[in-house]
Order: sequence, then structure tokens, then C-alpha cells
Amino acid sequence: MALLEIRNLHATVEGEEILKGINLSLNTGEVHAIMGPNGSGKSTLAKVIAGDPGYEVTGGEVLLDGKDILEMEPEERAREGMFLGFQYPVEIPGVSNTYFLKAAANAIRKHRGEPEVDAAQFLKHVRERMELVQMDESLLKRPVNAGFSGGEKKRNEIFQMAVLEPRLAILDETDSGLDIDALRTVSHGVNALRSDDRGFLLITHYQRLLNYIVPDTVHVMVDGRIVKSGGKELAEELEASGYAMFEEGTAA
Amino acid sequence: MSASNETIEQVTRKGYEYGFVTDIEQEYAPPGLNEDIVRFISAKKEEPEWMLEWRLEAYRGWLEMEHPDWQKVRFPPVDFQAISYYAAPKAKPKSLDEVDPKLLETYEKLGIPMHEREALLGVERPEEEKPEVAVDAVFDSVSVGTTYQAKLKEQGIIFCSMSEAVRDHPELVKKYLGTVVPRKDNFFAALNSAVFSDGSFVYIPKGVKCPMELSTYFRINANHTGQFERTLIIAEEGASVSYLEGCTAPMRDENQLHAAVVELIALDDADIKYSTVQNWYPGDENGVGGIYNFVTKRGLCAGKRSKIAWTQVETGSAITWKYPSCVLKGDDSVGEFYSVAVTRNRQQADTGTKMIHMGKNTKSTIVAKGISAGEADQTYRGLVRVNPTASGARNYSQCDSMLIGDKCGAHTFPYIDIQHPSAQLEHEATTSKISDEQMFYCQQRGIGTEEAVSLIVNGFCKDVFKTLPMEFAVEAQKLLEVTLEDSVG
Amino acid sequence: MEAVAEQKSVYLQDFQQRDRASEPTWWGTRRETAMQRFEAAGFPSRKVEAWKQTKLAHVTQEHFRAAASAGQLDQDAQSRLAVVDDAVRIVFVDGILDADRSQLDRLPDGLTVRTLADALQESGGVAETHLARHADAEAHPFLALNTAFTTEGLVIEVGSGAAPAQPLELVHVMTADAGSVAAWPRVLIHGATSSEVTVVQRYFGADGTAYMTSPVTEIVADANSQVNFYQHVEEGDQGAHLGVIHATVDRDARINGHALHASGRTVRTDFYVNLDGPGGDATLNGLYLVRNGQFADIHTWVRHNADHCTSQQLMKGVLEGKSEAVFDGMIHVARDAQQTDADQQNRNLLLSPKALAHSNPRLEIYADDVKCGHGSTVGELDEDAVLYMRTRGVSDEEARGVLTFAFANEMLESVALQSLREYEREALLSLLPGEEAVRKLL
Repeated sequence: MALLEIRNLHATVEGEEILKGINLSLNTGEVHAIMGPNGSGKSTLAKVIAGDPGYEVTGGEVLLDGKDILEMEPEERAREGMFLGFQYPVEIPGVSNTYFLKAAANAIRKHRGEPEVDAAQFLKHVRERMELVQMDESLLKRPVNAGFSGGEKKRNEIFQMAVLEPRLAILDETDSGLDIDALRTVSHGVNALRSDDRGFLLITHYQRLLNYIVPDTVHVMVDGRIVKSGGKELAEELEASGYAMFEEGTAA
Repeated sequence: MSASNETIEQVTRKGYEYGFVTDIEQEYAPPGLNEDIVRFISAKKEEPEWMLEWRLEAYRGWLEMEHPDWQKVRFPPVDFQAISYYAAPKAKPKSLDEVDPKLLETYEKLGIPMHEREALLGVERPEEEKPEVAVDAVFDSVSVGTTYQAKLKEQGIIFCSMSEAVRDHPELVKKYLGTVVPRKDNFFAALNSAVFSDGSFVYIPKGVKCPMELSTYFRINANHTGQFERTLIIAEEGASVSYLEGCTAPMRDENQLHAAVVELIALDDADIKYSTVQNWYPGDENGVGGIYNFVTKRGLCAGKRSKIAWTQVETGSAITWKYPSCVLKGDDSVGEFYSVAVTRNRQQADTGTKMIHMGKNTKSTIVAKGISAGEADQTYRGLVRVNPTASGARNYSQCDSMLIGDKCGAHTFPYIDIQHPSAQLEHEATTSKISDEQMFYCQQRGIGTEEAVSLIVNGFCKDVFKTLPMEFAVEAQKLLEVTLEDSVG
Repeated sequence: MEAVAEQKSVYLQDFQQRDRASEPTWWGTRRETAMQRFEAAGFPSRKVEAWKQTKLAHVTQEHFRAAASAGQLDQDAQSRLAVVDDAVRIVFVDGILDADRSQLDRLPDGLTVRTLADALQESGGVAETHLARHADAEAHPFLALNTAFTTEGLVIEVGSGAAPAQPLELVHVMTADAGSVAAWPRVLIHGATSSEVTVVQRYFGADGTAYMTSPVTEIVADANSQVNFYQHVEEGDQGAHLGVIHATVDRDARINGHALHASGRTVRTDFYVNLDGPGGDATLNGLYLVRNGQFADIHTWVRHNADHCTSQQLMKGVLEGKSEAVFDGMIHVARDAQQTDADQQNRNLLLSPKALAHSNPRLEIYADDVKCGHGSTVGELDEDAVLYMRTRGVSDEEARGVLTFAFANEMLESVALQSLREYEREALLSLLPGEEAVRKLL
């Protein structure tokens, strides 16, 4: 059984159809990358899978571990093991990073019928994970993403992912806006978390990311559909020739 | 509208918990305002001649003043001749034990401890840990009782109603009344000076740290009346006091006027902390009824190194119009203003502060947080003035607005008037929506909507809540949570 | 006012007499438009808001012309040519490219650098696409003059995904022979998608010579690219420097600017940054050290034109003697630029009661979901801190030196290139009271 199974998914925002029948199957242990030009629906797909109420699903199915999740609230999906790394991580002033993470971890544990985290153990776990993304410990006490630089925000997303240990991680343009050094750090974090019981869906605008995180499968998305899938060499092909050939294909 | 926005919007339709009326025999002044009414009020209070003259002077000044219209709030003209300027329970108790049980019941219902050794409502905790709070309870135009007076008196602290102060401490009242807010300061201050009823008087002698929180609880009960309280707090050299004020009123279709004046005076090294949780009846969701809260509050840091801090949590009133201010006259004096203002339904608020730097090396801090929901409209209006004499003045201002839904408004007017080149000013401002993005972000991490809203709002207000005395911080947080509890359906 | 009116005609005459032989039509048209704009507006009077605090009299009353040939570099100038370690260096003397002292043949992979003259010959190339297309000459008289008169400059292109480790160091020297000379260098930097580059521009000149350097740098940062640039001004004591940096920033791209004004009779830098795509970021840091009799000015216009962009500005000034400085910073947030996060801070330290600092932070916000902060301070040294140090045995002068150093050093810490940082530190130390003692303490 696939970890994530998307069947003929259609979705609209404010009446306009953005996703026009997406099919995708991702197994544990795999890393898939979705690439596509501006406005192709990549980020919409990520948000729809995670349950953003701003989008309306008009058809199709999304299964996580075989369970249909489309009727679930976003927090239920998260508790089922889904993590979305945001393109633009959101600031929550006045709420410390640690407090936020603990609230999240406890909500997930409660869902699984586990007791609340032990404060000391949790802190130890958090510290280990910080090293993974070379995050400064002072960021733990600061409010969630408030006053963070662009690179710090993206690293914070990977850090949260590392703490929460999801089954499926969807990273929405986590590489955008990062300089080479930050990109290396973030990629290192992701690579370190690759494992046989976890899957990744990378959504990216820039081929450069795939030099650092090598995907098993690359999907090309144009105008709300996946128009081609292939191995990592597909990304290189795209770098050389662009999306034009696919765009013409859909117009025809 | 998205689902999360919908849940948040429900916040705006929450009822008002303190809207009951106490059925008690009261006596009133006939409606209307003229010199005879002023004389009537003064006579009711058995005031000396000088006090009456003071009032009449204010009344004559008021007659020549015009109703201000510069503030960003809209309401029909107030008919000052339709209001009764005096209402009081008929029975006059001589001591706390004689207070009408109905009144005690009222305060109990409101959660106000009228028995000594009892704490303000809030957290359940063992009896011995409850801090002592002295309470002056003002019911419409009169104080119905003040607790802990005897104990405070041992240290020379005077805590009583303004009427008692005029009677028992005329020298202090004469010396300070109207020195910070002059009678003709503004239209509503003049009105108040003419007809003020009760309010609290606090005097902390030299070097005394007041051993407990002092608080006044204001209750409007009667119909067709207004409340015009007057509060005066004096902290002598090296003295310190923390004072709290709370306010509620019944639900009525009419608008009732509350025009108070508060004056604070801090001498050398004195420290006054004045906290308000204002929860006057805000009117219904269509904007019918509610209190007009037009208040002049001003503190004078008269002495060197003196400090005055205003903290306010404003959730009630149909219209709020107030600017608790600090005049920093003494060198090295400090003024602070922390505010959370919540407006929902059709509430309007135009509030902020003035920091007037006159002395050398004076410092002021302004942290104002506005939350606007429904069709409410809110304005932050602040002035930082650095006079030519105020070398080395510093100000930090932070004004944050949070909008809930898309029919409300938030406006920020930070006026700055600098007349000394060494001034150091910092200003930060944010306007944000309790956004779908924030809600979704929390939810995506597994945090449910109810917890998420409370997390976001409390985080937003944290800088202000942490300046409140412990008991009130819990109170304020609860007040917001009550507001939010319907938000998860 | 009459003098000003005459001046612009002088520049118009110069313009009409220029050599047009090698000028492609498109470039000729852009230059004429710029000249017309300058001719229409002239030099700004003090009534023009953006110029009211800038002291320009000695610039507007002089007639500056491009040098016919480069002057001789003296010993001091030669010793100051190379500052940045491992850099590819390109040198202009009196506004003219010095090929012998430049290393145009030693460029790393992914980096293309051509002279302005070469790049202009390419039809449909990067110059034709971008040069004088983004920066608005109407808004700035010296930008207009530069477009009209520039003949020397560079077009720098960074290839897609390229991130050359070596920085470029462009050195603009004015010699003692440059009396009444104007240098109008024009530099265009184009960073392609996901590329990264660092460009250092250093300007210095001989003391006692009245010249004008009026450089314009245009930066076009494509999606996800990053351009780090340093504007390092150490003009001679009679030199005027009126510079413009204009950056157009596409989605997810970053611009990191750092300006140092260390000397010059009148030094002004105007930063224009347009954040045109979502997720863009601009960081502008500036330090102005203003000596007795000198004037320094930084203007910024940061325009948030798209959602989710961030910008940070931190400008610090240290003023000694009878000096004057201006910081004027605008943050403009367009209606659709939701989720903007912009911050602007300006701090000035006056070492003398005769020093004067103006600080004009300006915010224009048309979006409703934004975070903007600004702070501005003008102050003298904290006398309590001075006294505290004196009670620990430090002399009054040393205490002031150390505190001043600490104030300004924060800006140097943001300089990523170590060699440049050390050089800037020297410039700072040389301004401090009790310099020798401070050096020992550090």
C-alpha cells in the first residue's frame, strides 16, 4: 500500500479550477519532486493535501496509509502523520517556538493515545534536532518565526519536521530564497531524515535543489496536471530545455 | 469565507455576562443639568462651600465649551438635559456590615470581594495564598463601602471615597484636585468637575509601600443616568501603590454616559501603577445601547525619578474615548502605557496615550494592542511630545493591530512632536489579520482551532498582560477567553 | 538660482558636442531622454523635498567634464588599489578604465564582465534590455546626467546557478590631476536565476582636488538569485560623490547592500530597491563617518511591490566636529504587497555639539496585513558609561573612543568579506578620539 495515493484530484479556489486531475503514488522510503512553472498548481496541491480551507476539493481522492483524508480537518491530518513545510512560514508573535512545538507534539501524542511528553526528555530531543539544522538555541525561546531571517524561517520548518517526525513530509518551495550555504544546511537536514518508513514530496521551482536532495521520481506539473514523470534525469532535461515543450503539449 | 475565519467570526457575537439589573430602591436627581442640579449634588454629599464653588466654576466653564468632534468615532449628539446626574441607593449604611444584602449580592455576582480577606475572583487557590485586595465599591453615584480602611490607616494610607475625602481630608483635596486635569481641560472634564459623584481617593504617605492592591469597582445600575466618578491618587516621596479599577453595567437599549476624571500625582521617587479592566456594557450586535466611555486620565510625574504606569484592558463600552497620559515633569521620571483594546460588533474606540516629556532624561514606553472584530472600528491615537527642556528624552512606541474578519477597521495615528535634538525615539507598528495563514499553520502542526485562536490572541496580548498584577492578568486572560469560547463550533 | 539655470545649459552644450559615432540608436534615444529630463528640472533647489537637506552649492556652481585622459597615480593611491583578498580587480582612474591594472582576463566560471562600450554593441543583449530601463531619471538629476554622459563602465553577468567564490572589486580612483573632472561610471549587474555574486565598489581620491564622482549601479536580480554589493566611499576632502544604486529584485531573490561613507566633502548615496516578485528580500546596511567640515547623506527608497517580501535597513552615523549628515528612508508598501515585513533603523552618534544629524524615516503603507517598524535616534555618548569607565581607570578620551567604536562596529560585523571588514575597521579607528589607546584595548 502506498504511503500517499492521489487519485484524479480536482480543486478550485474562488471558483477557478487549479488542479485538473492529479494522480500520484508515493511509497515509504521514497522522495518525489514536483516541478513546474509559475501558476502550474504545485503549491495548491501541497495545500490541498494538507487541508487548507481556502481551497475546495471538487473531485478525486487522497489516501494517507490507505485512509481517505479529504474529510479530515487539517489538524487531524497532521496528527495522522502529515507535515507541510510552508513556502512562507507564518509568524506567531508572543508564542515561543518551544511552547508551540510542545503543543503540537502533545496534540499528536494525544491522538495516538500516548501520554504527554516529559518536559526534560522533550528538551533533549529538541536539542538533538537543532544540531541537525545548525539552528541557534536562542531561536527556541523566540516567538515562532517572528523576526527570523528568510533562511532561519526555512530552517525552522525543517527543524519542526525533525522534532515531529512525520510519516509524510511535503516541503513546499523550502529551497526558494535560500543562499547556497542555507540550501546545503536544509538539504542536509532533509537527507538525514530520509528513512524507510517516511516519504517526502518536494515541491520546487528551481532545479538547483535537486543537486542536493536527489529524488527517486520527478513529476512535471503544468496547468494543473502532471504531464510527465521520470527519474532524476528529467530535472536536468528541464533545466536545459525549460517547460515550453510541455506547455505546448497541453495547449494542443 | 473560509472555515477558520467563520469560527473566528463567531467570537464577535458572544453575549455580555454582566448585563443584569439590581432591583433596589434608589433616589435620583431630576434629569437635566443647571446650577441647581450642581447645588443638589453638592448638598446630597454635604459638601463644604468651597467645593460647591469649585463645581459651579467648572459648570460655567462647561457652558462655554463645545462638544469635541475631532475623534474618529461616530454617534448621535448626547442630550445632556435628558440625563439624571445623581442616583444612589436610599439606605445609607454606616459600616460594611450594614450594606444592603442586595448590593453585596450584586458584587458577589460580579465576582468582587466585599468581605475582607477574600480575593478577587479568578483562580481557585488555597485560602492562605489569596492576596489581600482592598475594594472601594461605587454603585451609580455613590460609594457603598470600602474594605480594609482600618488596616491601611495603620500605615497612614488613606483609601476612601471622594465624598469622604472632601469631608475628612479637605486640605489634600484642595491642594491637588484639578491640578493635573484642570477643570476646563476639555468638554467632558469640565462636565465631570461640575457634577462628579463618587470615585476613590488614595493618599500614600512619604516612604510607604502600600501593602496590598487597592481597587475600585464601578457599577452603573440605574436607568437614564450617567456615572461621573472622580479619582485622585497621591503618592508622596518614595511611596508606591498599585491600583486597579473594574467596570460593568446592565444591558439596556439606551446609551449611558460615563465621563470620569482620574488624576495621579507622583512626587520624588514615587511609583504609581494604575490598571483598568473596563467591561462596560458594549451594546448589542446591532449597536443598540451601551456605555459612552469618555474619560480623562492623566498622571503627573512631578518628582524626580517618579514613575507612573497605566495598564488598560478595554473590552466594553459602545464608544470609548480615552487617552491615559503622563506628564513627565521631574527629571529622570518614567511614564508607561500598556493597552489591549478589543472592539467587536459595532463598538468604536479611539484610544491611546500622551507622553509629555518636560524633565531631563525622561523615559516613556507605549505598547498598544488593538483587536478589532465584526464591524467594529478602532483607532490608536498617541502623542509623544519632547519639550525644549527635555534633553535626553527617550520613547519606545509599539502599536499593533489585529483584525478579525474583513468588515472591521484599525487606524493608527502616532503623533510625534520633538523640540529637543537629543531625543531618541523608536516606533514599531504592525497591522495583521488573525489570518487564515496563522490558523492553518497551527492546525497543520496538529493544534486544534480553539487552542490555536487562544494561542494567537494571547501571544498577541502578552506584552501587555505581563504588566498587569497577577490577579488581573488572569482576569484579563479569562475575559478574552470567554470572548473566544464560542469560536469552536 | 540664476547660477543653476546657467549650469544646466552648460551641460546641454557638452551633451550636444559629444561623439555619437559608436552609439547604437536605442542608447542614443535613452541618453537624449535623460538629458531632456535634466534640462527640464535642472539641479534641485532646496525646495525639492528629496534634496532640501543636501548641500550642493559647490557642485552646481562648478562645471565638471569627463577627463580626456587619466592622471598619474601617486604612491598613496597605488597602495590603496587592492583591499579585498582573492578578488578579481578592475580599476578606473579619473573615470577611465585602466586595462593594465585590471584583471578582466582572470574571470571565474559563470561570470562575464564586459566594458560598457563592448556591451552596447550587442543588439538585444543584456544592456539593451536593462540599461537605464528600470531607474527613473526623472526622479534624480545626477542619475539623468550619468545616463547622458557615461562612456565608461561595466556590464556584469552571472550565469544561471553560478556562484563564483571570488568577489569582484571595482576600484574608482580620482587623481590629483582631476580638478573639475567628472567621473560617470555606469555598472550593470545581472544575476540570472539561482545565481550568487559579490561586487565591491570602492571610490577614493586625492585630497585638495575638486572633482565629482557620480556613479550609477543598476542591479537586476532574477528569480532566486542573490547579489551582495558593497559601496565604499573614501573621497578626497574636496571631492563630491553623488551615487545611485538601483536594484530590481524578482521573486525569491535577495539583495544585500552595504554602504560606507568614510570621507568626502559631499557624499550622497541613493538606494532604490524595487521588490517586484513574491518572497524577495532586501538588506541595506550603512555606516557614515563624517569628519569636520564634511557632509554625508543616505537616501533609501524601498518599494514592496509584491507579497511576502522582507526588507531590513540599519544605518548608523558617527559625526565629529562641525559636520552634517542626513538619513532619509522611505518604505513604500503597495496595495497588493500583503505579508510585507519591513524594518528601518537609523542611529546617529554626535561626538561634537556642532555636529548635526537629520533623520527622516518615512512609511507609506497601502496594504492591510503588514509588519513595519522604524526607529530613529540622534544622541551623544552615554555620559554615565564614560564616567563608569573612568572610575575603572580608563581615560576620558579612551572611554569615548571605545564607546564610539562599539557603536559603529556593529555595522562592520555585517561585512562578510574579512579583508574589507578589516580595512573598514581602520577607517573607523582613524576617526576615533584616543585612537592609539583604543587600538591597544581591542
